Amino acid sequence: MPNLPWPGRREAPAIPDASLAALLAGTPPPDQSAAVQPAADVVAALRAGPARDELGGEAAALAEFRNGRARAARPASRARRGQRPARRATRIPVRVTAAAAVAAVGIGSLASAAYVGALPTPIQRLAHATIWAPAATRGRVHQAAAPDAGHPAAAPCPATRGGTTAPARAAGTRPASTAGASESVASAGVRHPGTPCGPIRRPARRLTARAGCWPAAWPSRTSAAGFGWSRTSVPEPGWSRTAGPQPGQSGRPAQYPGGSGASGRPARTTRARQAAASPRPFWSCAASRRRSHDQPGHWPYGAGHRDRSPQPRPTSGPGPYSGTPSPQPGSGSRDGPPASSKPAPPSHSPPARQSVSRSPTSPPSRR
Amino acid sequence: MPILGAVIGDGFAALLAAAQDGSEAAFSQLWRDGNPALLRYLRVLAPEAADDIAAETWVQVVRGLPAFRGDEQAWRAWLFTTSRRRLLDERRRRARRPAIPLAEVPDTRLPNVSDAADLALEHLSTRAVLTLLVGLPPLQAEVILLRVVAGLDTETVARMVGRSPGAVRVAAHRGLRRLAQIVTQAGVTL
Repeated sequence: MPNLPWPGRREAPAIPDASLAALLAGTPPPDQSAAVQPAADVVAALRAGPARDELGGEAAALAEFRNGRARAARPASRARRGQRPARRATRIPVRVTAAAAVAAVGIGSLASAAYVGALPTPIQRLAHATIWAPAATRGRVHQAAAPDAGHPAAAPCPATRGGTTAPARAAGTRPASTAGASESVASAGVRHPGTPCGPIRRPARRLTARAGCWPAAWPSRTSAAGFGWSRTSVPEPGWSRTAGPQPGQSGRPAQYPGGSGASGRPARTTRARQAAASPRPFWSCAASRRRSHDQPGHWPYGAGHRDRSPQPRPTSGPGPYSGTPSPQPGSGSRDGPPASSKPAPPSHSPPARQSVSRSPTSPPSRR
Repeated sequence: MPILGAVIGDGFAALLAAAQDGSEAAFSQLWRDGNPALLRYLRVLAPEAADDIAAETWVQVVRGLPAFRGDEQAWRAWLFTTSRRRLLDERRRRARRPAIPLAEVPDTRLPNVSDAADLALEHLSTRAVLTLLVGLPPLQAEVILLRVVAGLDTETVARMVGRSPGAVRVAAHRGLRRLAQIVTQAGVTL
């Protein structure tokens, strides 16, 4: 370690970049001035010849070189036995593991989808046949619960089958299925044999109201409240059959399925008219749905506005009540048998409250 | 005065081929050419572990020598790149397990040559410059060592240290000016 005296602070001479570059490259600098000399001395000292201590490990380096030659001179077969199988042993399980993981995830997902019932129908059937997944229920009738052809409940509904006449289910016997069963089946999107009419996918609320389609289960006026209906199942506020929708009100609540919402005339009335164009018994579904709103205790305007006097029906021509007799004026009876087959004259005038007169359409008399 | 850079010259290809074929003499010549520069480089950047890192570097070089292809510049670049990686590994290892020596190891690396006066003066001059290099910023010191001691060009050094050639050039000039200024102010005769 040299003794470095500090004679005093002196300004370092400026060294051109060209001279520095030449010194770094190992070539003589173009400027041989005294300012470049310190830098030249530093570079020369760094490039000085090797000292003895810098060559001290030559023997060890040569020994390592010999060992390297000996390793390289090994037979290739031995090297393969020593190295490559180990690599394969580490690579193959990784691939197999990855493939197994992917397969497991895929099979698990497929099985889960099968048991949930989210697969397409052919695949769901295959899954049902192979791994006992639930049967495919989309787009077909539940075969297991379908009754025989002779059962009255198996007949199609006239309201949805083009106006054919009702089958012999008018015999008055209600099938074993109840309204709750119909609701549960309808919520699954399957036509249940106990549900006599209506499209397959109907909201449960409407199917609940349609439970009155069965003549034998038609509740009496006094027992209507106990039938399980609620005001929510009769979503007809602001609309009466004789007056139509009130000004500023839609025909039916917006949440009503299939309702027209902002239109003046509810879609339900249109559908009822279409259904009325075809001959059918009075206890058909659409008619029963209409009558369900006339049940006592379900009048949307309260008892104070009820007018029990018979009013002319708003429909013109043969409607759903064309074969349904209007009750006798002043009778107030809804259970009476039909007495007249003349259609009621249309009524176009009723405003909101005053014309909220109930249609005297009475449910069919139970026999 | 012998210099370290490009001491082999045109015979490098034949020397390399002989060393790859297993010639110990050829490898010895390669080692004599590269090891002094390697030690000077490492003694500035890692004074406490320069010899160990140099030994590990040569072990790696022996293992990779049969597959090496290139000229002398590439050879030196490969040698110092390997050494720099071992240096970084050593720094990481020491950062994980710091160790403090209990006693100073006596300096057994003093020159023992026939003409002790001249070589000792020369050696001390080189050591003095290496000591001055330790006081420089690390980038400037490393760039000067790689440019001067290892004999690499600016682009190769830039690739090694991960900087642009312009940054390497600027760092080398600043470091060399700083060394010249220190030598001038100190009045040291190298």
